[in-house]
Amino acid sequence: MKGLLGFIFGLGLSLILVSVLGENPIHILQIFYNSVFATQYDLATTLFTMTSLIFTGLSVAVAFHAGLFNIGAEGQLLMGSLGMAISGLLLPNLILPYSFLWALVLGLCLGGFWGFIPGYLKSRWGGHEVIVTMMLNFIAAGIVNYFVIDVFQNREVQTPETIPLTKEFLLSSFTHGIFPRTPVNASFLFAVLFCFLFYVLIYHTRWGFQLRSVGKNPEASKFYGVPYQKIQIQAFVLAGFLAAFVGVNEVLGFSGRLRLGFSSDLGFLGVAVAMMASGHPIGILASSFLFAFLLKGSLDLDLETQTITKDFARVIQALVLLSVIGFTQFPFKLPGFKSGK
Amino acid sequence: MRQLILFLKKLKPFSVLIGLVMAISASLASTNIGLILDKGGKDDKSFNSNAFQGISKAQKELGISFKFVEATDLNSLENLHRSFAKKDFDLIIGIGFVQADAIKKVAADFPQKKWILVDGEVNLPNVRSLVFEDHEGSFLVGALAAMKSKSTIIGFIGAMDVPLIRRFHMGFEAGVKNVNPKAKVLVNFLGVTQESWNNPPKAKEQALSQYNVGAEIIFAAAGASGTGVFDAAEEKKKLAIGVDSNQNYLKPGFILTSMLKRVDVAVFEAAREAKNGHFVPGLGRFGLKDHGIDYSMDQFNEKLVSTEYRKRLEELKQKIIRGEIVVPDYYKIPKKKNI
Repeated sequence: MKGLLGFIFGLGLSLILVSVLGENPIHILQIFYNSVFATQYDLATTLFTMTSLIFTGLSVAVAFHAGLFNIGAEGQLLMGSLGMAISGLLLPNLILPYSFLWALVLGLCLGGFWGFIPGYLKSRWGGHEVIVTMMLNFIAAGIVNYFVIDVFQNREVQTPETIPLTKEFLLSSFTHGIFPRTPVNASFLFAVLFCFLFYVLIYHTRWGFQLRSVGKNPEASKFYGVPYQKIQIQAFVLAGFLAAFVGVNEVLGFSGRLRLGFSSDLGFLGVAVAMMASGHPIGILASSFLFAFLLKGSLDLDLETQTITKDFARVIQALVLLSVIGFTQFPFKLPGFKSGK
Repeated sequence: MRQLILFLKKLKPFSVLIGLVMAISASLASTNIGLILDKGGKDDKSFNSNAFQGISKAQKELGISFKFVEATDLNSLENLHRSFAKKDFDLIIGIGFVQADAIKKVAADFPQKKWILVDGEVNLPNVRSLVFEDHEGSFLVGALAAMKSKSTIIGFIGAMDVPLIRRFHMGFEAGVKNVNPKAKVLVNFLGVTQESWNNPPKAKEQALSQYNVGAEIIFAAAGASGTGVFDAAEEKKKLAIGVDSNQNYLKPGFILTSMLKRVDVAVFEAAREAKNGHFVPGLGRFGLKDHGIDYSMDQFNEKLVSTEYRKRLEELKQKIIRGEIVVPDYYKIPKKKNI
């Protein structure tokens, strides 16, 4: 509720700013509204970005609950996407459903492995996960670059991308798109489902309890006999799996190949998405939508107005985000609401 | 949230009115062109700036009107093209090979609209693709670097390690070797992520280290990162070569020449044709022959390039145009077997 107030506050603030610049605030609101709801395509694009953000947000959140910072979602999602994109090129003759499963397994394994490394280094030798994951992002980018350009480059086009996968490997062989001819695909449903599963896992299972206790106080949980090192590794592997699901959305769900630079810092935005929701999965649903909306909305502002450029649209993004975070984190009570949070 | 939406729904009639007014004013205006720039943006002093100059010139001289946007990421491109297609634009211009995918999709959905793609190829009846022979220009500046340099070490700094930049490198190295077969070309790429297109500090570091190991001239095929190389050249009192736009003015006396990729001419010509209601789909190539690719000479670098060098360069240029010298093209090298 406070988040919504913050959203309105930030939006109001930016509307005042744009009216100083000479734009009609009502027109701006209209653009924002149209940006998401005008056509099926607009809604679909927003949901597509939102899907990826849910996955990276959850990835960061699971580490967050274990008291760890996963800055490496970007690298994990790249490795996952790489695995999925090359699966069909390594074994092109597989048939359904093994083809799709193989793509999924290879992608998740690579993503999970990329999560395992910082988890292992952390729990075994105390290597700080922030540094390790950050470095691993660059290594992942390098590996992906090598495979895309030097090994599996699609020679038909100039853009750095892999050879397209055949139909058998794609998500669309099971489900038809939610909306035809738009990027959004069945992985959106996965993402929403994952949020609920995540909630159950973190708050209503033994493992989730152990995870949170490790996050709150590793020393105490150690004395209680929680295998905290194991939990840390498991948390990071799970984070890698979740980040790799971005590949399901992008590679298996939408484009059918790995295009260099497809991720517009999705992994880093995932940190913001998770932090805004304090790691709560249902909050992540909301915050990922907010981020997706702002990403697309600011683009449309650039498109529809003369004065608002890409850079100014960023200012609006920042204003809205700051006020949402400010309102959610600042300890005050709303009149009429009893909830302690 | 719901109340907000309801509130917005009530506002809808107003927006229709605004939209109507805008549509009418747009239809009264002359030729209207939509320009979609790449991520570097209109101030990269290189590739995108060039395109922006072309369209600005068209606005002044031809009286067309235009609207430009800058892409934020790969997946936003389709959205931008689609929004432009829905509006009243006579021509939509996409700058940069990354837009090929988006144009391919959107142009198929809007067969009555017209597109121009710069630096990439799309085969559709309503798209004109303009491609540049980057390797030919790189060859020439490479040859000039080898003539000018006293040492046998010459540097190349590319932005992101992608086929396009490798094409620059391949042409450049061939040019160097043509003049001085013993010369060695140091090659650095700024990185493997999108940031490398706009990372002057890193470009400067790499340039400094190349100068330190004996390079005298560095070709910066690095988009907006190139300014870092020029800074390093000034600091070390060495030379650099610019790319895409004429960048000689950025550090007069330290920039030997710039390899010109006349995106501005291509965009301007496209605007002129759109104004005359003329549109030819298909592929248009720009090379040394039609000055779509060239090297720059102006008051800032005339002291650096002697008339003798110029004569030899012009000879080489003619040889390339006549086909006596074939510059290796990364896009056409024998295909490695794809697994």
